Amino acid sequence: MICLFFDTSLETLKVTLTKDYNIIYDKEINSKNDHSSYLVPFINEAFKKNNIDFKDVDKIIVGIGPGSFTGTRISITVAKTYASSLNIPVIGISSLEQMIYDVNGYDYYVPIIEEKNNNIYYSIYDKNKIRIQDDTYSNNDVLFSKLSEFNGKVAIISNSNKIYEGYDCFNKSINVCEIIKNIYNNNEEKNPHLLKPNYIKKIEVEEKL
Amino acid sequence: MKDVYILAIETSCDETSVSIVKNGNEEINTVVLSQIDIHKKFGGVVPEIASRSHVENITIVIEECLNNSNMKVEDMDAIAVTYGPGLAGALIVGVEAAKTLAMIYNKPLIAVHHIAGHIYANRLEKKLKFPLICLVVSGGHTEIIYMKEDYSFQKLGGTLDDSVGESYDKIARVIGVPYPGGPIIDKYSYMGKHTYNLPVPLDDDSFNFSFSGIKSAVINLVHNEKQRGNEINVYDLSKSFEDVVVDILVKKTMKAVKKYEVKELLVAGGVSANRFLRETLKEECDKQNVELIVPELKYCTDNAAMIAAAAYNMYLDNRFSDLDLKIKPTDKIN
Repeated sequence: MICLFFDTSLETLKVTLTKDYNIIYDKEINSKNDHSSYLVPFINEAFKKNNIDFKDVDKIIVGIGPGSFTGTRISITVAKTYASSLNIPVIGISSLEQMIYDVNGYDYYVPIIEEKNNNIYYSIYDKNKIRIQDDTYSNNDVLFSKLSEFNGKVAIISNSNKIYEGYDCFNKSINVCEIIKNIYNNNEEKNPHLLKPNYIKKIEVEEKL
Repeated sequence: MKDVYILAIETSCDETSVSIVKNGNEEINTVVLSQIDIHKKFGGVVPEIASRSHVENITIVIEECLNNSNMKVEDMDAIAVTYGPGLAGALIVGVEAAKTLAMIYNKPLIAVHHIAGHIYANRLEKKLKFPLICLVVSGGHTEIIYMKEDYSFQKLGGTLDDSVGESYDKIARVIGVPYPGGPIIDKYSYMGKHTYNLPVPLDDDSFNFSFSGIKSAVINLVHNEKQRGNEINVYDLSKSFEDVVVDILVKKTMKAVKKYEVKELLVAGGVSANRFLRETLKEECDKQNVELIVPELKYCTDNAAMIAAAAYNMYLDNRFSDLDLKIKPTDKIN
């Protein structure tokens, strides 16, 4: 079983190719404003180095945000073009959900993406890693007043090294094999034409309407 | 020689378009998905909304074009794409889709300049005769280009501020005409008389243009008349504005035609659909025995057929791009 994973919704770009849950290619770089120069070349390298044909992929798993609008569109465009032309199943995964699979042993998992002015994207998962709060954009006060009512051990996993007092904090680490194990059969495949970024945030002109 | 099929993608502004063209001049099929109705309510193109729309529609448009053509990506000799100039977030969707197709089908990737596309739109109808002068007029561009031979572009001059299309749209907004206002101003001008006195834009020896002055003049005029309680005659104002703008465009273009002793004049870009501009250029060209080539209306606005047409020459010259191709939102043609 061959799986191609990639994500360009945040500062880091990650491309991973797995075969039967083993990583056979993995590239993670900080290419912030230039994901476009690296994503397709890395995917190409992943297949060429391993001598695998593009049509032999069983599933494409792609990050759908939230994060940078343009960054997310880069991955989504590549994934849906690839999947729709070669008829490969594709699954979109939230950039928040990606963060929870490398941390274990907690009652709650709270992935966070830091934005400007103490605003964050976050979601909440229970001890079985079932999502109990959808991806949300708000000020971090809103989250922490909510968390103060939780009983049990909370793990905060964020894309920064910010420490939140009173909580176990982890820097995000993407465990692609765990992601595949967890979502390969659970998540419904989408018609690749319908795959689109999960922006969450509205854009200014829409808010004004 | 074997036939060459190129699939091209164009997403530089607010049209998602894919086309297949044979041998650089025979259009097999073109799909254009215009977002004009989406942007209308905002009074102009909103870049983020354009980008969102491109990413939602790109694969549907690719598939539709292939289906209409009854062809597969495997049948293509190359994949072409507009890499600039244009809106960054919009360009990147087309470029990523093109790179992906080039990668998975192992086809050469050709990066086409948007203006080269507009120029080569003319070849979809007629063989180009060099040397020639090309007047590029659109919402984003106003340029006079000298082409000594195929795929050589020498910019003689261009706008120093607003493009001609922009100035039309801005004037339209001031007098309350809905977006995109340019075509409506053109229509109104045929129903009015030249009664308003507007400044002539940058009438010098160069091939450059400046349209910000006339735009301000119109805004002030409308403002002052309103303050005085006078109603604006939109037909007369359209006519007065169009007269001055077309006059300077034609004057400088014909000067270039004369100076470079060319026998052919091309017009390219969205504003080449402007009736008064076409008519005035035709008159001048007839007088000077110069052949005027204006694209069919469907090729005036952004479309991928013109990108495939321009890509053909690059294909013949083996001018291919690597998969790390970057978009260039402000790239100049030379």
